[in-house]
This record gives sequence, C-alpha cells and structure tokens, in this order.
Amino acid sequence: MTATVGRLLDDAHARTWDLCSQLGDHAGDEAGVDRVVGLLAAWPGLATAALRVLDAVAVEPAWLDDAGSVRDVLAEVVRRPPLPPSDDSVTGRVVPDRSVLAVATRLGMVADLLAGQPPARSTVDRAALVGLHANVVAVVHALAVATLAVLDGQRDVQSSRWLFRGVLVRTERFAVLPPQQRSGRYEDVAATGPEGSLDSAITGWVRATVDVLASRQRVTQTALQVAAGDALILTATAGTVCAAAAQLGVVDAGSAGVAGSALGAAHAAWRTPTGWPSTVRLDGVRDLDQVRASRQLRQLVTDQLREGKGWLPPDVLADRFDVAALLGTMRRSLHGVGNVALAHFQAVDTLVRGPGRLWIAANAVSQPAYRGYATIAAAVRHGWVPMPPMEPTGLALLADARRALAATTAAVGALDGTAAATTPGAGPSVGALRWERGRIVAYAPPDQAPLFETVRTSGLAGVTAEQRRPVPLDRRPDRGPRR
Amino acid sequence: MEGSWALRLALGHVRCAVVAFVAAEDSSGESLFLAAECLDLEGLFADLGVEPEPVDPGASAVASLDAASEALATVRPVVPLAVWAGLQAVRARAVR
Repeated sequence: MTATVGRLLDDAHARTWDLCSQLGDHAGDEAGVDRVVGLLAAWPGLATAALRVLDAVAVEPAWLDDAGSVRDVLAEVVRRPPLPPSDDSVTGRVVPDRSVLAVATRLGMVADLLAGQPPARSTVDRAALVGLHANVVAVVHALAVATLAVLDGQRDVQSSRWLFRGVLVRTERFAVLPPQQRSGRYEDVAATGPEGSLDSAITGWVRATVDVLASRQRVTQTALQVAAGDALILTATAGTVCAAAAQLGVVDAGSAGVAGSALGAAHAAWRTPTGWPSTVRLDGVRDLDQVRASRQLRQLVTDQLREGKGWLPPDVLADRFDVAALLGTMRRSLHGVGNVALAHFQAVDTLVRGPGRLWIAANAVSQPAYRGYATIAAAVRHGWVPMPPMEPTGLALLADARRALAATTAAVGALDGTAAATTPGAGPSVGALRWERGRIVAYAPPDQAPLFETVRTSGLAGVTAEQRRPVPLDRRPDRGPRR
Repeated sequence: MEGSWALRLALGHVRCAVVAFVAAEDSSGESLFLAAECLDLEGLFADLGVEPEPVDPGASAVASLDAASEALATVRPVVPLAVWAGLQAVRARAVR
C-alpha cells in the first residue's frame, strides 16, 4: 500500500482518538504521575512535528497564511516545554509517552512527504492547505484537551495548564472545521509506491521522460512524440477514472464535470504534438530509459484499467480498486504530466528558437528568403535541409507545445478540485470532540467565525478598496479568535 | 526497390499512421495505444539512422501500415527482423 499524506493523517487521528478514549476511560482514576510526566515530555516532539507540517508548504501571498497564532503557541511549547509536577515520586529518566510520540512520528512523515511542494498559489491549493492545517491542528487540539484533563488535580502545574489553555484557544477554530472541508490534493501526496504499482510506474516515467527532454544532447523527435503520446494516454486514463468516480458517487458531479472537461481539453491538446508533421524531423538514437519507462507505464495501465480493447466499466473498477485512492493516483499522475508538459515545451522552444537540429523537407520550406540553390537542389531529390529560423512549421510545433502545457496546467487544477471540500458540514453534535469520517472534530460553539474573513476588492476602475463583510447589527458580533 | 529507399518510405508511412491513430475519435482508447506502438517502431527506425520519406497520408491508419508493410516486403532480405516483427504486430493489433 502506498503511504500517502491522507493515510498518515488517518492513522494519526485514529491513534489520537484511541489515546483520548483511553485517558477518558480512566478520568475518574487519579492519573499516575509517570503518565503525566510522560505526556508532558512528549509535547515538544509533537509540537515540532506539527510545526514542520505547518511550514512544509508556503502560502502565496503570504498574508493569507492563517496559522500564525498556532505556530506561535507551538513554538512556545518547544521553547519552554511544559513542566512536570514537582513530585518526589518522579525518579529516574523521563520517558515521553509512546502514543503521543507515535502521533508525532506520523506528523513528521507527513512533513517529509510534503517537502518540496511548490507554494500554494491557486485558490484550490490554498483551500487544500487550510484543510491540511486543520487536520494537523485538530490532532494537537485533541491531545491538548486530553493533557489538560490529565493535569486536572495535579499540583504545581499551573504554568503548564496555562500553556495548554493557550494551545486550546488557538487551535480550536481549526479543530472545529468539518472533515468535508478539510480534504484537498495534499492528502494525495505519496511516497513512491511499491515496485510494480501504477504509482511507481508513473514516478519512473516522469523521471525518465523529464531527464531526456531536458537534455540538449539526448532529446529526439521520438522522445518528444513518445512523451506526448504517454501524456495523451494518461489524460485519457484520468478522464475515465474521474468519470467512473462521479458515476459511483465518490466525487460530486459538479467538480467531476469541470475536471472532465479540462481533461478532455488537455487530451485534445496533446494529439498534435504526438503526431509530428511528415515534413519535419529531428534525428537521434532512442533513450532506452525512457523507452522502458514508457512501456512499463502503458503495460500497467493496460493490465490494471483495461480489458480487451476498452476501459473497465465503473462497477468493475469499484470491485477491483478503492476508487477514491485510484483517483488520488490519477491526480498525482496528472501532476507528473504537468512536469513533462513543461519539459516538453522547453525542449521544443529550444529546438525551434535556438540554432536548431530540426530538419525540414526541402520542398516544404515556405520562406522565399531561404529557397536558395541548396534548398532547390535538395527539393529536387526529395531531400531535407536544416529548418530556417521562424519557419511557420516550427512555430506551429511550438504553439502546439504551448497549448498542451496550458491545457495540462488547467487540467491539473481542475482535477485537484475533485479532492477539494464542497459540502457544508452537519450541525454540531454534543461533546467536546467527535469522530467524523475518520477524523477528529472539535465541538463548534454557536456562531463560530469562519477561518477567513471575507475580504474582496471593489470593482471600481482605478480604485482598490477593501470591503469587509458587513457586521450584523441585529445580533452580537461573531465570537472566536480573529486575526 | 532499393533497400534504404524502402526503409525511408516505410518510416514515412508509419509516421502517417501515428498521425491517423492520434486523430481518431475512439472512446475505447485503443488507437492511443496503437499510436504508442507505432512510436516504438519509429524509435527502431531512428536507431538504424533511417530518414523518413514524406509521403501522402493513407486513407486510414491501417492503410498506412499496410503501405509500410508492402514497402518493406519488397526488400525483405535487408529489413531488420525487429522492424518487420514490430510492424506486423501493430498491424495485427490494429485489425483485431
């Protein structure tokens, strides 16, 4: 099974829930001093891991980052760790609580997986990041609730209690965010899957293809065409899985429809770069790594998602796969196609604009200035000549590559949208914490303010005025911490 | 027909087949995989240093593959076995 951010978060939430239940079951008993000491000793590690996740993906523009107050309080926990009770029975080495450390380890792995992610610039990415932060901070909140409960009745821990009350206050508005609004593409970020998996094949294909396309010496016409052909297959695969997921109710029809159209456009845009015009060529020997990776990718797509000459129908897909996880794989694959699209465009741009190695059939040269003696002589014997600069055929190749890149970028964003939150959460249930869709959610007090204020820019020409959400005059202002 | 000329002609026809396969509106996706196999075949020609001969596109992708096969059949002794086998495999899959 491929380790993804989503699976690690599931595990962290389940472990936290178990720990809270375990501590709750013994609420009436007096918690052993060693347990209290162990819990407190584990907090710096937990806070460090949570901070790493919060810092793993930057937000652009930076002022939209809403987790500053949580970072401050977690940094405080790391800087001045909560003090254990001054009890004579505490002797020997302090052993941090293993359950909390296990949760911290998972959060650390999440941070490791997210390392290298580009800043969240789009609305979809920013919403996904808020969801990711909520999932991490909800764990911290739940553990703070449990720790504070355990500290109750202990002597000489006032400063620690204040610290955890601070943690609770600052983490609460993230913890009350319903799970439906926490999902996003970051949950799909995965370690390379096991050998022989589709994930592993896609990772290998992206690496081999980008390598060859980025090399001025190794890039060939076949390399460019094979890259485009594989992108064509992957966009078709993603479209098929997305449609099946919508039919099975795994994703909502609206976002699946948007993603389907964008994938269709990207698929259409890759057709032309796959079949080059017969009057242009670029010599070179095949790159065997790319050939191997491409064949493996096609073989796995065929073996796993096709039967006979067609795609598997949705019900068969549902029988054989976890369709939500498969859609996650498709989102990752499309990010890979995005990387390949960029490398493909840059390679074609270098070939067409630079002192190229492209050849054109002599009788296809369209610029009169380049129809000299040598060109005419070559045309008579059906020969080839180096492509002149600004030749329309070359510019058309470049335009096709640019179109494929733009359409793929749009499709990546649209398919990421299928991981985004859509439906509003259910009404609050009774209790400080509740378990919903495999994640911990804190009880939302009435009139809880949303994570972001609604700020929009006036549409007046030449005027940039901010318009804040109007304050309701007929009732008291929203409660809760604000930035 | 001269051997190298036949190879160039065959490569030109295979390139036309690729264009026809990717242009085909085929909801099953089979033509995409056929195009990819033709690209593998083009790679074999590229390894041999064969320059393509610009040819008129055939009536269909299968017709282009047939034309490539006919071109190679005339100079069979000089055609590398891998090229011949690859072309026949694609043709067989295309008509299946």
